[in-house]
Amino acid sequence: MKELLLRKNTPVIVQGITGHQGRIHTAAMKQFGTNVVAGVSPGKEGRLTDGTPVLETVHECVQRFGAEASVIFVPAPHALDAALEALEAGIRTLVMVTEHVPPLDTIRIAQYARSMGATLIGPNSPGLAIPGEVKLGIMPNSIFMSGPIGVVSRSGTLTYEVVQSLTDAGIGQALCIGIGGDAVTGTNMVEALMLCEDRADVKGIVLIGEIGGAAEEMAAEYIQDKMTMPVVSFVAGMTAPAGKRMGHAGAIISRGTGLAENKVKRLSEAGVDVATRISVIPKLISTAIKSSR
Amino acid sequence: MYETEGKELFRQYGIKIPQGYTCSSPDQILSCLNNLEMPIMIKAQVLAGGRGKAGGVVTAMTTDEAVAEARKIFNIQVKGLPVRSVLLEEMVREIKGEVYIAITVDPKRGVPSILVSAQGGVDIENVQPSLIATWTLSPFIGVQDYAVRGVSHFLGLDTNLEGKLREIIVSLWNLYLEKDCDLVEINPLLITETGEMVAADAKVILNDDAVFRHHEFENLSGRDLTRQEKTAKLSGINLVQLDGDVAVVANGAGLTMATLDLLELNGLHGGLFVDLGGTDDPGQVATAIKLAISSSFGARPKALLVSVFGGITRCDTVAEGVIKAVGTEGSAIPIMVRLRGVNEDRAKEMLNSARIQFDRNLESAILRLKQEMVP
Repeated sequence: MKELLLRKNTPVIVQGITGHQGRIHTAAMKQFGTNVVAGVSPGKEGRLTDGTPVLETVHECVQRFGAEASVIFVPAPHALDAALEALEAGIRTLVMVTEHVPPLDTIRIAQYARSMGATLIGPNSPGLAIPGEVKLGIMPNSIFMSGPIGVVSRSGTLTYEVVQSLTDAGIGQALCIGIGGDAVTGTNMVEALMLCEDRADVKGIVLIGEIGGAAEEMAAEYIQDKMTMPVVSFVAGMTAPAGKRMGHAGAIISRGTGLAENKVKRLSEAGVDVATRISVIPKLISTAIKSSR
Repeated sequence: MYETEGKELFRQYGIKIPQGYTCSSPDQILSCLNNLEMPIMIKAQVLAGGRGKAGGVVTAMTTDEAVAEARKIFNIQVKGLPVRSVLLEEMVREIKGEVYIAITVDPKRGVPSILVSAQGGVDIENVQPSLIATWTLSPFIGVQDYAVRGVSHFLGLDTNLEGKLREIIVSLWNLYLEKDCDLVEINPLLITETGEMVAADAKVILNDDAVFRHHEFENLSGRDLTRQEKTAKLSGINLVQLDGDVAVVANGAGLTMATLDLLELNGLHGGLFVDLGGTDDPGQVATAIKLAISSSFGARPKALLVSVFGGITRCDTVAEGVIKAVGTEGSAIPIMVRLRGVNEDRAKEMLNSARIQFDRNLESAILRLKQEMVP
């Protein structure tokens, strides 16, 4: 059973902090309120211009700053090494933003994380955010407001779109998790739903799925059997043709599985309100929460 | 990867394959046949399943027959694909049974699994799930005895074949792991009266993201791409050709798909979809736009919709890229740029002064674009 060991002031490090994206998003995370204590960039020890220490190893970050969580921007060829280093050093919350990680590396990282009792989000993930408290990853700060909604998604920008529409409608969020767009992810959709359920402030969940794999079908089964909290969903790729990889490594309809139609059907059977367009999501979720009271 | 390439990997990993030769032109047929015993199989090398039914796989009993059939196969299309090479292969004799064995990631459990079925030689998609068994394989644990025993028992194999079966499974696993495959599949694996196990077919799908550590496969990646697709790949842009006539440039796979769905809900059809990915380079945006609308890349859309939610990719970067691509002379087709997020206001100003249509709402952007399209 996964647990999100993340508080407002959890000491966070950034692996790959001296890269272009690493720098930009370290600044944005700090602005959001995340306690970024240091970064790691082998061979580039020193300080960023804003004073953030850059160290050689994750071990040092844990020893000197008590780091508990890490956000990984390290390029794909070195992502396996970076993630295993973090887990071995005692990091228990790991967000991998890196895309194009070979699936067998993801599987190794995910299995090692599980054996260590750590939570891995990603790879190819926009990260996670608890508005008003902490953000790990690359989601734009401006889209969030605090409130009662949990958001679970396989996508990046589509998540921003949905979160923005919630915020525009005055509906805030308690936890947003982008599990990542790859076929194999460290935290799967069901586990992400559980992380939302774990939080007392979450009153309803928006689940954003897409074609490919079986994550939504498994989520539907879990929602039907175990959940009482209202869930509203949107599934992207209703018009996607079979056999074409639609941008995400995991977004492909193959061997008759992964069809959006089937996902929508299973989710509907599980009692989930499935939106046909993004713009109706805020209305659906607020109605669902009201009627569940 | 073609069957012959998969078989070469099988051979390297110690999996027995039938004696055979690959001809890359019809004039090689005779010399290949000199070294083969009749009867033989003649197999078109195309990247598609179901070759047999499509006429791409035939048998020949005599050399004359083999020459005629092989020539014929060079001149047909199999599942719409031209045949550039043909595999000539001795038939395996005294076959006692055929089974299916594959290794791939189980999408539900997120770990590699071995799949087996006693229904070898048929399309696995048509096999009832109850006739397929799976065992998970961990990269940290590998192939253990229980998995081999389990597979053997499920397939109803003689226990004295377990040693051979273990070799096949271990070889397949090593290949899967060491070469970073998405799928390794033997269908069918032939079991002969003398207890030999021979891979009659080979399907190996490599993972594109792992090519950085497999220089031996560098030339394989992207060899079937069009010029448009190659340019996109080199620029780190994701491009998918669809059937409709509205080109879509968006950022992120989920948003792109949602945009295409919304077009369809409004009676429009997405043509080419170009996923910018995350970028802060207006040049990259301009390249994406050109790929989507320029006839020099073979694109002939009736309209262009840009659908971006600004984050890493800021709205003003996109605006700058669009202006760069479209230029000052304007465009022959309607263009609608829908931007929301970081630096949206600045982007709006830039587009307004360049006289390019802008909207911050995706639904109204699509409706406006529809109005501008000449029916």
